[in-house]
Amino acid sequence: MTLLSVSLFLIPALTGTLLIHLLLPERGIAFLLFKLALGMGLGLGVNSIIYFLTLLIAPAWPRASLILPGGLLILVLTLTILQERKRNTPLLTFPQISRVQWILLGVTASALFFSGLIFFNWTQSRPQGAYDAWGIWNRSARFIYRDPENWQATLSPDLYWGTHPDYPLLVPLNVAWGWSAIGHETPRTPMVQSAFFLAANLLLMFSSIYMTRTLGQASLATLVMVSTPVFISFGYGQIADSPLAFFILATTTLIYMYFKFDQPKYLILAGFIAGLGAWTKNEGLLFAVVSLFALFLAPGREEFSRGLRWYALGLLIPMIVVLYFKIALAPSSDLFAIGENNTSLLARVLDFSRYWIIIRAVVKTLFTYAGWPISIFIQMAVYALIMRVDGSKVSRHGALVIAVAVILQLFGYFAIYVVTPHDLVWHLNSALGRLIFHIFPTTVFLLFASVVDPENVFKGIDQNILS
Amino acid sequence: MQANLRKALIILFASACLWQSYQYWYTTRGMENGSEALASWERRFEEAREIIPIKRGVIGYLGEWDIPGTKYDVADQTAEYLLTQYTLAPLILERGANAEWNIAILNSSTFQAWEQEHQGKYQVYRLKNHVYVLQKLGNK
Repeated sequence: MTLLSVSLFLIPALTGTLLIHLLLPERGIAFLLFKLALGMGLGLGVNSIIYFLTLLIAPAWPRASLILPGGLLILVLTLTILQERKRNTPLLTFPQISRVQWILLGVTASALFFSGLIFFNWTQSRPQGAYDAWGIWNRSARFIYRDPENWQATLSPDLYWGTHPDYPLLVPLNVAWGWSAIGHETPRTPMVQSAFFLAANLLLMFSSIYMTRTLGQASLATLVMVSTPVFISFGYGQIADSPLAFFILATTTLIYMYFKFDQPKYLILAGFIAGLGAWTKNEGLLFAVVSLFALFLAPGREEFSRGLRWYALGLLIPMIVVLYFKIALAPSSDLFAIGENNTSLLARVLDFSRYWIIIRAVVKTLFTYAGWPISIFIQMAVYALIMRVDGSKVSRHGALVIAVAVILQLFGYFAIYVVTPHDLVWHLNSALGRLIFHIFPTTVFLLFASVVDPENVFKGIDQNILS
Repeated sequence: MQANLRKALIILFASACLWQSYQYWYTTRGMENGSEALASWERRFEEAREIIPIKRGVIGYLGEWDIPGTKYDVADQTAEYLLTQYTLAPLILERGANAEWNIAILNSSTFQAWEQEHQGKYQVYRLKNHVYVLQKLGNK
């Protein structure tokens, strides 16, 4: 079942990779890994949209959900072969790797080995995933798979609010698609999807830093991600937080690439990926909006109108799907209901003691975050302080847009907590760590895209060894 | 001086990351098998699924939190409700016993108290492990 699920998810992953390769034909190992990482997420996102449209148009024709992704793969593969025939340069060129880089790669590979074992242990212990997996995501997948002709029952307002029937469907649709293709309901399918997004997150971090900086810096950034306990804990859980963290990271790295390489195609792709984030979780919808604002606020006016146009273009298609889902199909969110103790939305907004409770919880979480003995954010701050920003290599505009997007996203989360109708302390305890996790990979990217790289620090050593 | 500090920092940082990975792996060895509890929860409802004739739509759900005067833990009750919803999907579980078909998960004494108050209103199917299927009478 595991191999079958892997083979199935390889279809959209390969389609996504080839689609990105058609758009970004650049060569080299870093680019190839970048395209592979983006392609996994893009492919799974597009696959869920295709399945969604199939269910809307032809729910009684389950074969369509297999024929369409297969057909799309054949089409994209044909286009890629035609495109590659015209090229003479090799697809892969391997760089010379210095001793420092080998050491850092080795350390990262060792940590990756441990994280693989950790993932295995978690999935052995919890094959049906974390609490929210069976409470929300796989519950929804079961509704779709078990009764495809009546699949919209998963969005019923009669469902208990804790099952979150209003949540977008990227994750459950892919699971239901997998089950439908296999013809059997197996926990291996959501497990494999989790593994794909976990791998895509790591690969994206590695390749994007490698593309914009150095191999050693990419190894360090990946090492921080892979050795952070919450990264694996959220990653194995068959929940939508790891996919959302991926889509946020992918959007911000593509925005960064746009400012670094000044090519609009990166921004179109960034918009599309941000739209897939909105199709993953409600917090992704918030990110699609705040990333638009970030593009508006950070650079000059000229950059804004040019960049925003491309970004909005990319955002368009997935957002049509998301808005149709939100307006025509999904029930209203529990966040806008009457609060506990019958408090109105306005009363909650005007209750300033709530603000203080939220600030305290955020500070406490940031200072103890991610399962490290010392908060990972404190460690990253100390690292940045000592290593310093490398002004010659960082894209200031890109870094600024990402920083603004992250800050706005945090403000958005803050606002959600202010208006939440649920018990505030309970809501903070149950979700704050997960919300911070959404932007954690992006902050790691921002740090390592900006600070001095290890090759620079150990320059003398490598030169001495080589001479 | 600063160059040495940076070198030391990178070495320290990379070592700490590797050590953290190892430590985390160490704590996950021999974790208890939580899935067994979930699988056995699903098995509890196999009989109920056969008795309830409808395969889609709304059925009622009664937990201890629905019976006045019963002591319960909110987190436990929520988890049981979500687990039952997960198990019986695509049936929609609505709190209370107002539907034609209802499912109850109650300990024996709580169920007896509930039954005394509702005598003659439901046909009761007593299943194993404190699971009851309740068919509302006069509502077909």
